[in-house]
Amino acid sequence: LAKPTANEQVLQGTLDLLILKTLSLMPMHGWGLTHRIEQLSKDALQVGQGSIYPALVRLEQKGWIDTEWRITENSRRAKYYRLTAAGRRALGQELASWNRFVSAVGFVLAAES
Amino acid sequence: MLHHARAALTRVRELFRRRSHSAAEQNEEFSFHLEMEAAENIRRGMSDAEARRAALLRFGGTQRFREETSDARGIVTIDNIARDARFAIRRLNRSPAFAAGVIATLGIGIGAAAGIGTIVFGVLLRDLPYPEPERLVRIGFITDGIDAPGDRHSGPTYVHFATTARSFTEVGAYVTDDGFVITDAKLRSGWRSP
Repeated sequence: LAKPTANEQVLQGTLDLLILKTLSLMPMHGWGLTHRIEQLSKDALQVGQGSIYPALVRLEQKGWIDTEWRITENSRRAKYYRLTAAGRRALGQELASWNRFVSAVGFVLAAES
Repeated sequence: MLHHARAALTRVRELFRRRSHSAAEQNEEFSFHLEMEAAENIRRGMSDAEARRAALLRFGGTQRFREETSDARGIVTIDNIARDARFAIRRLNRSPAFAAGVIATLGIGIGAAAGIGTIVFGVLLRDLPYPEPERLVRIGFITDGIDAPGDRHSGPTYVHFATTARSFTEVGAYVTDDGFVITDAKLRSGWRSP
């Protein structure tokens, strides 16, 4: 089990944002998604692999992602997830609100006396 | 707007899609995931069994996520309805007198409503049992100052109508205690025009 560093658990609520962002790069299946997120975080984040699926269903119900059964390179059937136009818009809004949140926390933590 | 519609559509589709189908899809998706993870672990040098166990461990228990995914899908609604029904039956079993009262009340209520509905349909709504019932009319005289339809006629009046009327395809009559009633349709029984 090669997980080198602190293995930050993904914060509740940020998983949706990470999924949207990662799917905006290319459509992929659930397993690929978990590994891509960890890889993009330079292995600092650990995604609960099972917890990605309920999140995917929620996002699909919001109309932000679409699903499609496709054949992988290893000729296996797998369910692929793809960002919709609405998902792309939602990603923009979620990103903006995440940035506001980060800078707000930054202000508080940078306060001196 | 469009994505609201799409979201609603997805939920409806999930509800109507046969549950076993959706569960089978999910099983396939989960087992695909576990196989991919196990293969990855083998590439990193684990043994077969070890790789599978590690994959399951990292996934975090498939049953839990199976339930969570179902919850997110709205399948839970159907389960809840079944559970509510079972609960209701159990409660009614526990107090049979109350149950009998409720069932009798509902039964009489529904029966009365259905009975009245049948009468209203038969008397007011249902078409008369003749071909083209909308063309059926009663022939009567309207007399100034008398507030009643003069649609009861003597035999000779009927014969007069039946032989001379041009406005009707056919004229027929039936006998009541107090006179003839003339109509223009083919009555099943009663008088026919000659």
